[in-house]
Amino acid sequence: MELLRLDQVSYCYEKAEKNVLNNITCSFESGRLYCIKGSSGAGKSTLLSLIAGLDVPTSGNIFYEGTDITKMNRDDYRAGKIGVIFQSYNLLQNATAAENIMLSVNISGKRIGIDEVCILLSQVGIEQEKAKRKVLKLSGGEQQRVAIARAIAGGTPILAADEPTGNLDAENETAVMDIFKKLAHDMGKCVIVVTHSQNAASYADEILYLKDGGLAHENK
Amino acid sequence: MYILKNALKNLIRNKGRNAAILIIATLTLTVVTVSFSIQTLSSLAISHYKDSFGVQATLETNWEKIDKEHPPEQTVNEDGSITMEQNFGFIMPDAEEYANYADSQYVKQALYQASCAIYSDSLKQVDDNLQQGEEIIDLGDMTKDELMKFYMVSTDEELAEILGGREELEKVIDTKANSVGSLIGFTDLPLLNEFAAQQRKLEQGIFPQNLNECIVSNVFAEKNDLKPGDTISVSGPSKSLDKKEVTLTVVGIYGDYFNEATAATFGTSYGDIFTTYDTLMNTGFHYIDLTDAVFILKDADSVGAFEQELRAKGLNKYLSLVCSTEEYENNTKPLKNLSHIAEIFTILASTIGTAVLLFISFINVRERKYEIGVLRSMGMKKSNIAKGMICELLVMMLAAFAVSVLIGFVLVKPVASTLLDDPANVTISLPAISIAFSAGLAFALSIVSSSCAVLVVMRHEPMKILSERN
Ligand SMILES: Nc1ncnc2c1ncn2[C@@H]1O[C@H](COP(=O)(O)OP(=O)(O)O)[C@@H](O)[C@H]1O
Ligand SMILES: [Mg+2]
Repeated sequence: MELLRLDQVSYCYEKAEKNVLNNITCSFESGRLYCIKGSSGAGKSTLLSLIAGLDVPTSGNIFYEGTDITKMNRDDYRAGKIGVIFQSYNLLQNATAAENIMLSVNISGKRIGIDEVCILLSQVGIEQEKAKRKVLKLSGGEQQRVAIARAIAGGTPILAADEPTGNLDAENETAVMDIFKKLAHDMGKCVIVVTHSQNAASYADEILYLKDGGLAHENK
Repeated sequence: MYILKNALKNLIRNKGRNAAILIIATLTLTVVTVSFSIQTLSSLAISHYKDSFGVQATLETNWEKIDKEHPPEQTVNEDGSITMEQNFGFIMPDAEEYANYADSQYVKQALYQASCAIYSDSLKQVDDNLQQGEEIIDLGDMTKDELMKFYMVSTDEELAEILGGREELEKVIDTKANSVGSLIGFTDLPLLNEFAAQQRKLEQGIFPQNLNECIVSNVFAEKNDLKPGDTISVSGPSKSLDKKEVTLTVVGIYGDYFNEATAATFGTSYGDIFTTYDTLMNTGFHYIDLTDAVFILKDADSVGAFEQELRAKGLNKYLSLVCSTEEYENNTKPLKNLSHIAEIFTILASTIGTAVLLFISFINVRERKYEIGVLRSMGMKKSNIAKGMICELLVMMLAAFAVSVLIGFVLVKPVASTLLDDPANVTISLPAISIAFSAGLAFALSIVSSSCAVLVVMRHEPMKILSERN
């Protein structure tokens, strides 16, 4: 089932001369795991940010279940429809790992207990003691996994991850990708992962290549 | 609910930043609370002063108006010299009229001083001004013949005109010769300027308080062999009407330093006998002059209304109500200055406090911007973020406010009693209005200091905020 569709999406940063993204058209379905690959600076993070509803395309449209997301309340979209794992995590540094997750869930209008949060964190390899530590005092890899747990916690239909395994060792990468695969195939989520890792990409049902602002598909 | 919870947690999460805000806000609010209290208390003291002392007002001849409506006539004499003549006169209100004027809601108290010449066969004269030299002439003691000689007139009509009417002439004709002095009645001692100026001082006994009590000068007492407890008998000035004598008890003797200084120019008045206003009025003597009348008004602002009332009661148009606000101004000046300084302090502290908090918020905005970006990326609504931030600062300002009120309670007493001259005038406590003002300022400060962050929330897309940081 088609969940998300990009139609002729172009994006140009403020004050920049060239479009970062050029007339991108593609669609994403529920229950599938997508990988987006491309060289550094190709515009992968930009594309993911647009999908995450952090900004609107300069031209073109993004449809969620057939509705242009610029026409819906993007706060509600961000809070309830999509969970994002940012390349730079975007966690509240002064809050604890658990607090970051609980706040995110609260924003989407749901409740979550500390026990549930701890289970989630342990699934990505963060033990209880670190759950109550300020994010500031966690390593890069740990922060990345907190960000993953936060994105998953909301139970949103879409999960978008920007190089989520960039700071992880092979073992953790496998664990995380296993979770993503389960979310897509067992829970029916639409999972979009930007990655450089060949291992991570091997989990994908579909791989998209971003180059010079354009997109190419590779179906498996 | 989670917004409030998160806001409270944020307070603890960012201890460093918040401590600075808290200290500055507490300092600002404390200074403002105390200085605003001082301002309020000094205003209160001023109004207390108004209430307790009032303002002195007197009826004075409006010479300007008289000169305008009855300009002096110039006549050039044969020898070329110029004579100015202003033919105008009117009669000042008498005691009865004054009493009528004083019966007013604006008047707190009316003070009078009146006098009349007194006569006695049993008492010896102490002032002999007519014979002290050509310069010193006491017109009040002159007979009609002496006056005619003095003014160089030959008919009764001419003299009457000079004296201000037939009635005055009758008075002169009817006045006994050789008074032993003046009986001066007063309602209030401060009116007696020589006593206030310490030129006359009570040296034995007490001031007259009850009916038929009086004090005499040391010179008079010596000449007549009087001491406190003795009595004197005097009659009034009218040959035809004041035939009975009144007996007064001497209750005190005053030293006269006033006469020593002025004798050479004005003659002496050792024969001044002071009594109460009621005593003088009760004597039934004729030709009593009201020499001084002062209205003590309830406050300086009612002068205009009182004068209107006087006009309605038929006050002569050539008399105006003159308000001596000098004493009032002098006494309230330090309080007004204090109030003014306190006001400047209040304004300065509020402004500086606000500016510093604004500056801190401005510096904080980078840090908060990232936080805002993160919250926005998670889908938190702008309004909720703003609410959270205002909430945070409100809680802090509430704490600062509470502490400042506590400090204010402790500080206001010592500070106010040092600054206010006469703390007995007002009960010193933290005025409710200054607490309210401080609360208002606290609210304003929380809005001001959260405004920077709120502006960022409102203006930028999360993508921009986050990508700028990354
Ligand atoms: N805030 C920004 N302002 C202007 N240009 C930007 C900004 N962020 C990224 N870019 C540019 O947009 C292009 C795509 O960036 P990005 O999407 O982060 O690439 P990727 O994630 O594929 O490495 C790059 O050339 C980058 O320099
Ligand atoms: Mg990137």
